[in-house]
Amino acid sequence: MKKIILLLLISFLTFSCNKKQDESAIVNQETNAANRIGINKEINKLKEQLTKAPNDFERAVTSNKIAELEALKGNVTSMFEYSQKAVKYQPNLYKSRYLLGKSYNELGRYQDAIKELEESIQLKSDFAPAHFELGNSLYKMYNYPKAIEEYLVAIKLDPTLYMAMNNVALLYAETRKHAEAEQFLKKAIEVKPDFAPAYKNLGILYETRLKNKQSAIEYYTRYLKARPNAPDRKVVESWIRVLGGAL
Amino acid sequence: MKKIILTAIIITALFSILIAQEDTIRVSIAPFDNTLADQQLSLSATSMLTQSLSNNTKMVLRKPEAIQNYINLLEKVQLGIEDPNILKGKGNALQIDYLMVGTIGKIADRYELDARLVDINTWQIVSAYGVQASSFNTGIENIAANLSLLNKNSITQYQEASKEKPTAGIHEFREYYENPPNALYCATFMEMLTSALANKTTNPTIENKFTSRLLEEKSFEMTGIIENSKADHIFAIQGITNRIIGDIRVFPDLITVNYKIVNTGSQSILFTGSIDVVNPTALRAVSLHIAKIIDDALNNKIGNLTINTTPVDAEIYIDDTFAGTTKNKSLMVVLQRGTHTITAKAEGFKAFTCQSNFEPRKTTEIIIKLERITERYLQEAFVFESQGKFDRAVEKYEQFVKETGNTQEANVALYRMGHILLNNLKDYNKAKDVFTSLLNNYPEAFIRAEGYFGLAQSYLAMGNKEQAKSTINYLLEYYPESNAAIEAKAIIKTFEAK
Repeated sequence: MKKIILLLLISFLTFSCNKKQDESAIVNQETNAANRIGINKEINKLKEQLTKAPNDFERAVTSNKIAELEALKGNVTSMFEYSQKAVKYQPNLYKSRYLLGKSYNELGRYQDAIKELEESIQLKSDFAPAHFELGNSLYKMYNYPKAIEEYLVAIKLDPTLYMAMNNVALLYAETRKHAEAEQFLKKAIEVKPDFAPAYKNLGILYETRLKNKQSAIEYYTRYLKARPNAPDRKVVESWIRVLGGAL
Repeated sequence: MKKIILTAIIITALFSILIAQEDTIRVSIAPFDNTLADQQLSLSATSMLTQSLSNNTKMVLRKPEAIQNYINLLEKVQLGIEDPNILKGKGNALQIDYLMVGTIGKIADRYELDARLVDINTWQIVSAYGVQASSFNTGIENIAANLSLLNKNSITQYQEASKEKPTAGIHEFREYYENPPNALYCATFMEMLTSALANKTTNPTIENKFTSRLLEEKSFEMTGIIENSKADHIFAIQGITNRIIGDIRVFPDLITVNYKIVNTGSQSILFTGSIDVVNPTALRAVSLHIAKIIDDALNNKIGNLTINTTPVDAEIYIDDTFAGTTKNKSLMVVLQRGTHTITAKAEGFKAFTCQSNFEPRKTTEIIIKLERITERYLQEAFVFESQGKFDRAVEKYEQFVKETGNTQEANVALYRMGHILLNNLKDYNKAKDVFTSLLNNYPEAFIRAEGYFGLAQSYLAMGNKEQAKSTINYLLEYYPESNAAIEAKAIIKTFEAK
């Protein structure tokens, strides 16, 4: 009897394995379907336009639009390819320079990123995202004072740039300016109340730097509320428990 | 005689038991992790698998209770309270060789079950099962059936085959925060990818439950950039040569999975990829697909190139894409297998182009000595131009361009040549071609603006006013601050006056 069950199970397994062999087909089918809708539909339309663009400027603008959409998707390879094309066709577009700099950051080429982002800022000094991205490059190069400067410029230019507020706060924490760190993290939450990382960062700041257990518990709890499916939920719950908080 | 036979039988029996024991694997099953917050399911998974394997003659199954202290320790590691390294090297004391770990997840009403057998001493995965099932029981039965086929030989063969190959460990997949989606897939996807990597690749994969906790300290979370952490260093110390990171972005109608392979030694990004799907249940297939790509990338595709140049600080282009400079004496890049075109350029030197073939997992070194541009032709051209010998000057500029290729210096020569053809030799057609060549080289913005102005003047001289006007308008619109634009404005005024 056991042998029969085992045989049945193995047959089932073989059937499952055959199904698994189709994974490339499933991925192809899904990729094809995804290519025809939403953001990809828009990208494909732009790629078609690019082949018919009448001059370098149109080619640059279209390439830039593709790079922007690819950046939204997080497709680094394509963002890099199209922002580079845009810069080649028209070196004076600050947005293309910014996207190229952002691509370099994603690819871990921080020196190249700094060069492009500085070009972008030279073309348009009040473009906040370029200052934020330059802050990121400088941070990766461990130049924290300069990174703080760039984040602050970005926030001054765009007071809703909550990601810059988060990052500058963390650099203040690294340089032991805890009051400033606290202030910017709270500002980020004020600007974007569902911005979960700021809650967790505040919790860590209160627990590890300001030694304020109650506030730490409060912000860890608010983090879990802001990010109900947090991958680190169990871990953060254990932090709350260790601090004596209730779940 | 009877005694001898009895002794022989006992010895044979003992020997058989010893051989049988050598062929068996000593396993215990740890409680399954659970992304559904359903403790009952975790207990069911462990108990169903224990029951199913208890009669397996190829396995010696130790009940979880027998290694309870270790399981408690594992839980603390999972919570980031204890250092993962304390889990290593406990095999003999626990009397097990392998530990079964697993996770229960659910995506769009389908159970996603992952179970992996890990070497208790190294946390290398020796066997993995990832199952998508409509019911929990079916999924566990499927895993049990797979497990029943396991034997010591297959594990030993797997471990032998993966020796000295690049090791991979999954570090993290982040959700995309800008617009928090309703459904989050990262935790379950990391489990799927870990199983897929261990299943589909010949590279040793280190268990995710171990690697993901290596850095689980209370560290701040940056946004828009990955934190400066000791991740690469810590992974490298553990012997993990490649770290897999990524993110999942959920849009209203599609899901994008982005991933990167980071070499922990050089801290460089070896490979980036991106896959879009419509249906979240396809994420299991995506994980298998990505695992194959990672395997291919690590074993068959990627080669390293080191370029040294004289002089240093040359710009390096690979397949017409800027790859970096040799500022720090040399440039190291990661390339896909095959033939690539490498070009080195430095100011005052002739551009150098060569083709080179790259093999996977090997480092190719190229030493390039750039030849200084002899400005003889250029100097001669300047002299002829100042003497009014314009034909000879053009001839020398042409020779200079031919020799120097696509460099800044060649662009200057092209500009001068176009200028002479237009203003002195009155060969407007040829001037138009020269300015077009200059623009097709995509020089710096300043020279490009001059190129457009020269082109507009050529058109005008040829009587093609429409083309001249549109070129000037283009110049004024996109290079408004250039000197060429200021001069072009004067021409536009004459158009308007007429």
